[in-house]
Amino acid sequence: MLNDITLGQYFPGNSLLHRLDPRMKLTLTMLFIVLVFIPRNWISLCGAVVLLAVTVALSRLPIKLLWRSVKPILLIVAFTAVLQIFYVTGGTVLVQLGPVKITTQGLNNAAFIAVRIACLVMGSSLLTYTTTPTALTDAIEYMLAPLKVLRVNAHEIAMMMTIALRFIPTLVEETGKIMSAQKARGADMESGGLIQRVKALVPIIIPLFVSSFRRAYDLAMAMECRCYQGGEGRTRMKKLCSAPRDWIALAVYLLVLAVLIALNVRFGSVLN
Amino acid sequence: MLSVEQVHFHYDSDTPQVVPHAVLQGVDLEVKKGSFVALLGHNGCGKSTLAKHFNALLLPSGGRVLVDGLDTAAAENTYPVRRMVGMVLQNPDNQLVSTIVEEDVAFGPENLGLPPETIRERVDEALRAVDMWEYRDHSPHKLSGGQKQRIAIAGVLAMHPDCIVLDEPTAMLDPRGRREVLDTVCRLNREQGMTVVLITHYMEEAAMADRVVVMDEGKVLTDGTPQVVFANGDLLRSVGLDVPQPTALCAALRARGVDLPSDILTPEECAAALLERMKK
Amino acid sequence: MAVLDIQNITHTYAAGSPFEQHAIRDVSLKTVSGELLGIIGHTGSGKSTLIQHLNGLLRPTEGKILLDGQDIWEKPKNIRAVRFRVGMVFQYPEYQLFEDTIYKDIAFGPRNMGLDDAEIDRRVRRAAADVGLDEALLEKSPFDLSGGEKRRAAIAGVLAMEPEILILDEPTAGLDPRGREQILSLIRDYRARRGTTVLLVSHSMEDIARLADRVLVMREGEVAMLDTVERVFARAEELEQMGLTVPAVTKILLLLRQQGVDIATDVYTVEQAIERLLPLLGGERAC
Repeated sequence: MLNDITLGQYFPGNSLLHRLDPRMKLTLTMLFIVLVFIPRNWISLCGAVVLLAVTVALSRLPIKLLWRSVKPILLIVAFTAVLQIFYVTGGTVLVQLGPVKITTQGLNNAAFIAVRIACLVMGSSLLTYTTTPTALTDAIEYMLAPLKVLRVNAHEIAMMMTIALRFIPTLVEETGKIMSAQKARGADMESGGLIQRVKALVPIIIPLFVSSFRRAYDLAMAMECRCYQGGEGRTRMKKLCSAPRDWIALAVYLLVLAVLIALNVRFGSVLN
Repeated sequence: MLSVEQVHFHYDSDTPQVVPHAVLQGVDLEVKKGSFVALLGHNGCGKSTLAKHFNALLLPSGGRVLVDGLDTAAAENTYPVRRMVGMVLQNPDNQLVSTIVEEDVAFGPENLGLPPETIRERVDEALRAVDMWEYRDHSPHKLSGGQKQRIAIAGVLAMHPDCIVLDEPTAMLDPRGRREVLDTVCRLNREQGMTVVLITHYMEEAAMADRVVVMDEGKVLTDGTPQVVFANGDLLRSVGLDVPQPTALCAALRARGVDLPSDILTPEECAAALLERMKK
Repeated sequence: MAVLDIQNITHTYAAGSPFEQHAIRDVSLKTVSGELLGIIGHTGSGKSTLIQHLNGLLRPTEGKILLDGQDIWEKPKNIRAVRFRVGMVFQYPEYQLFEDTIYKDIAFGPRNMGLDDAEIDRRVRRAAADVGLDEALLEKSPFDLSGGEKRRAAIAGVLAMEPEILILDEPTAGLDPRGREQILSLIRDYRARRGTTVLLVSHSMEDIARLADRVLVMREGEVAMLDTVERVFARAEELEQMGLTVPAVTKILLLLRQQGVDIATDVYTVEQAIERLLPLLGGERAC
């Protein structure tokens, strides 16, 4: 069901990864993104892959799940890889068709980048798979708090995210209902050219907008009834608290980062 | 507890008229602590507008509203009043803020700036009071309408209010959901002495209260115990309302010369009275 | 008038998912031309799933739906034609209004049917009259109408297709007693005038009791009862056991019967109950 896809990002569990402080997970994810872009040679990249493998193992999530996260972007991976094959010249020419050359260097680069993107996607999916949306929002709120000096209201951003997450399934359901209602009046959404199809969306989008505004009005009133006055003076039931395991995890990631840099220096670059 | 004195209300001419006829024309009402008041009336009679005066969502254009002695019109009273008078709205979907039940219930106490341990206690207590504790880590959108409405009630309870105002909380629910919500409300009133103001247009629901206030055209039409109010079927029908079927049945039988009491509200009471009569 | 013949339909949503309870199993039903069939059941009893099959919004996993003897899924391309013949008014239909005037909104269905402007105009005006909407309201925006008017305008949008079978899902949900009364009487009058077969889904036993000829009771995706109103209410005890609320009058007679009074529970209005009770009470027939 459509509902499940939108909220199905989080997979309940009690693994080490699930229990990490969401703020640390967010930090580690960003660190991992850096980690994936540092390697310049296969040995160094292997280091990143091993780190990912260990993290995945600690999450106790089925591998199939991670594969599912990569699947939708396979096309992009393939596309980037193919571009690399054709654009990178160097090394031995394996096949030549007119101006198009496929070289060893091209293949090397393509493979390298494909692995890199796959790691990137899997790594960041791990974050949403092991962290509840609320915990993630709290973490973002906390980490954006220093931006107050730039007049960024972290609380409001987090509140917006929470409300969006809360209402996505409701609106998805509502869209389904409105579509059925218009289809029952003979709305035709399956045929016609592009313009016709866009036009066919009007009877769905307008009621959806109207109802979203109505919901927003109701929700604002409900929040006022419950004494909401913005982030000022607000406390939280669930406090984020970091444990030693968080700092150990950070240390491991930093160590791997150092190792990868060292490997880069030691073995040089294989990329063109 | 709640004291409404000669309240008038009209929307300012520059704001779009949200509810064109819902203007109050001199409403007087006194709600006592621990009572269960049902507010009846058809759409546009001003009952929702009145309800919004109880927690300072709207301020009277004339007259005043006192909550436990606090004038709602004073700016510094707004939040104390909203804490004291919790409000549950009609659409169960549009009043839940969070993606997790217990975090939604925590929303109110969090706004009050309470320490985390206190919030935790209150959330657990409120969820138990509405019998939804097992669902604390569920996502609200997968619950039934009645369950969502009970979560909304828990969210209000967690603020430790003195009074709960429910604005047509069952209008969008199926019979099972309606029963769940009403049972919860009755229990809170009977067992915890919670003051309840229930706005509804279901007669059977109003019959559960210990006082019924009927509104029409921005005024209080009648006010009294359900027995007294529903005894006057013609007046209620003249404003588009009705009386509970058992009451109507007894009235019709009385008109045919059957000696029956006039204060019958529920099917159980009615059956008992009929049985009594048959034995004679 | 057209007849819908539902033959052993089963609908299973993505098997193995926790949503399976919404499915229906082996439901058969044949409408009688011109009847008003009430459909009751809990949320999740499968009644919404069932009705969405009747105009081809859902396709049964098993079984067939015949409209005047013809399988509606014989040519899936023609399913829209079925939707014009089997009109469906969803719950809270006012949420589907989208045009800038009521007129255009009511015309949406007829326009999709490919009718010419004169015919569309005739149908819009007739449908508006059917639901008691004033001509003056036709040029207004849906957002300027009251809740009850919006609901009636949305119903007119379906009536304007002049369906042979009309399905209404909880048409009175969320309305006050006056609004409920208006909708119910418009359904009754419309049916009396046009002889359309009407399927009415409702939580309110009182409404069903007042309008319906036959009642279909759904339970856990299956047909629990399908009979005349009297015969269904005569089984009031079973209905109560299913957790369905019987009309208060029926409930009173049921309570009496449980106390040993010899009385049938096949009544649902105050007038009928008086007829049943007076002989037992020995009261005089005053009027």
